[in-house]
Amino acid sequence: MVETAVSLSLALLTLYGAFDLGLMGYFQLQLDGATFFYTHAYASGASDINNVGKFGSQIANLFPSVATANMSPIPQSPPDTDMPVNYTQWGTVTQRYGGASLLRPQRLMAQATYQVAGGTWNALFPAASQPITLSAGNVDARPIIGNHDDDAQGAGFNSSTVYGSLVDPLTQDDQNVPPYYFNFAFMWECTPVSNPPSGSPSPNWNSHGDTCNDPELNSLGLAEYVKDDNYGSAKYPNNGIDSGGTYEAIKYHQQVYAAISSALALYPTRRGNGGIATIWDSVVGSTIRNTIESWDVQNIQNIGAPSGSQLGRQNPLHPLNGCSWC
Amino acid sequence: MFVVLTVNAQRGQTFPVWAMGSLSCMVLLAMVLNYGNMLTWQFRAQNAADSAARGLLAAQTTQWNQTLTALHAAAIDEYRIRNILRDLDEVVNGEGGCNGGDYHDIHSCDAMYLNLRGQYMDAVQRYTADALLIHRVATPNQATQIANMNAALTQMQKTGVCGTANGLDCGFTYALVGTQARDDNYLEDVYSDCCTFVVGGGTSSNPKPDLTPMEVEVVACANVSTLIPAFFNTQAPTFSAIGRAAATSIMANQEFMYLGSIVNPTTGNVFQQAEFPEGTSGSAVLANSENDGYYRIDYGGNPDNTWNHGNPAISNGKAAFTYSPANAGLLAATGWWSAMPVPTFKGTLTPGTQFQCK
Repeated sequence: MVETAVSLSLALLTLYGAFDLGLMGYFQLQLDGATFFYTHAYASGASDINNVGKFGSQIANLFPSVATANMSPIPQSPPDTDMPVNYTQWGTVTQRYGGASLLRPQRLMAQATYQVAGGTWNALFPAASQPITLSAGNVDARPIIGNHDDDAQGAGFNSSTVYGSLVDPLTQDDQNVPPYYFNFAFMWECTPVSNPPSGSPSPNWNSHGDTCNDPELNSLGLAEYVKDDNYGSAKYPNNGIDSGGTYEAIKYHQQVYAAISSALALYPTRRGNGGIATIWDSVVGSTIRNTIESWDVQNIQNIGAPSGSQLGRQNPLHPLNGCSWC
Repeated sequence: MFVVLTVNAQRGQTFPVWAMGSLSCMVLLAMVLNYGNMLTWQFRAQNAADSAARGLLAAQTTQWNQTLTALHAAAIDEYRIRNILRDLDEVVNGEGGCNGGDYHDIHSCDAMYLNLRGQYMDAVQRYTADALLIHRVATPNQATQIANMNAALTQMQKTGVCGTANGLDCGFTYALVGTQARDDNYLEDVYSDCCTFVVGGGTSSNPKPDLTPMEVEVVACANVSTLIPAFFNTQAPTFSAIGRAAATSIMANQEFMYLGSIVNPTTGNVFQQAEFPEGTSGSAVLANSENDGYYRIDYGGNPDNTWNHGNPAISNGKAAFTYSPANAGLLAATGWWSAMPVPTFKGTLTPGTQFQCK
């Protein structure tokens, strides 16, 4: 009789324990699943206020035993990154010749817990009953911008300053623009003046031709850009470099330069028979002054400070000037 | 009549309890394992859809990266052409410091003309190649990009490709269920003129679709057998592991740089060093106090550069730079494109119609 009781007790206890473990496994799996999908959804954009409720309720339906309403993402710093190029080599933020901002994977962690009220141990020793707490966590990467605005902060890419000023790439950052490329191309030129010094070989040069009296810094209207000027489909319905194409200015400039190249090919020397000096002004010089330089903004040091509301638009370049087919 | 119940006859009384209990535990274990298996497949489906969605956007982002790279190469060549033209204009007219000797004298305008002429023709030839390259890489429109995505999706599921670094998870069938332009109110504009530029800054842009970042949504689906095997005449049940993911094109890196100012960490020199097209030695011919200042091509400078201290920008420490250009140089501003996840946007989907399961 005693033997049977002992055997039965042992059997029931073992079975109960196994059953208990099975149930805890079930709840643990729910926790694992809930934390995975919660962090994934949040990192994928559920942080948008319009999505928080939706994703929360969807996850709650999938994992009914997990209190997803109590879950919250815990933002961590992105993993360290390596930026070999030193944009602040020459000192402070006030001496900058470049800057970069980066899309970083911010680590988002979410935790969830579930308390199992009973358990085999508690059944045996009710007086010492303690709930068993199951927990799970998951980490996912949320895309975020560090060193925003071309690193106007001038802060280290892995610094607390940057980690404290991360911004959302789609709603908070100036990086949310179409593909763009533009340049500033500054070149000194000895531009002819209206009253040249007496005896100079050309207006504005000294008598030896080795010193320019009044050089100007010009901004060159290069053809390589994609920005507001050629984003639209009204004027640029096509892609590529042909007429009506986004990059038609490149084809136009190439044609102008190629025409000069063809002229140079005919004049291998500067002077004498076959020398280009005799036809320079009429063939090449006129193209430079009448066409190519019309693309530029001359003497930019004299144009004054720009208006804040007209930044980037007040003194436009004219790279399509002279184009008959553009 | 007496019936003697011996102790031995009571053996095995708990056997039914063991048996039924063990069976119950095994059923529970099977259910838990099956649930774990389902979750694992769901995780796998989600990861498969994520990787497909972000990978497919390469059809757009790679095209843009190639275009921007080619634009940059062309800009350098055009800047070089403009500088050489200026130099040609000077030496043909006997200006800039060259002398009146014949072409045997490297300091003569004649010799410099020979060099500049050759350099100019080479530069125009390169510029022509740049223009053709830009035309080729920039021509595909959004419809072509989407067609390329579908072709890539087919390719990445093929046997021998899936399961490799160039393919997707072989366990699923994938469908590109949605594409759209991300032309919401947040998409800003880019302006630049001779001397200032604005990227974003609260502006609003309206680019054509071909230049608008895209959003794509992908479904990865597989019908998976449960771990509970078929027994007797029942059929083993299956479940559908479905992953949905969306992604959009985004600049992963945004930067501006004076090409002759910033040091290339690989070489230890600035990215674009000064050039001297008037000679053949790669250094100044006249070696005067201006280091051939009238002929030199400067891509920028910095405090370490004797001849060009560059155009340092002054940051307000928050979001803007200002500066007064006082030196020659070439600044490029652009970004490098990649993909990032976004919430799905296609709403309720119909299995069998909008996507298939493997």
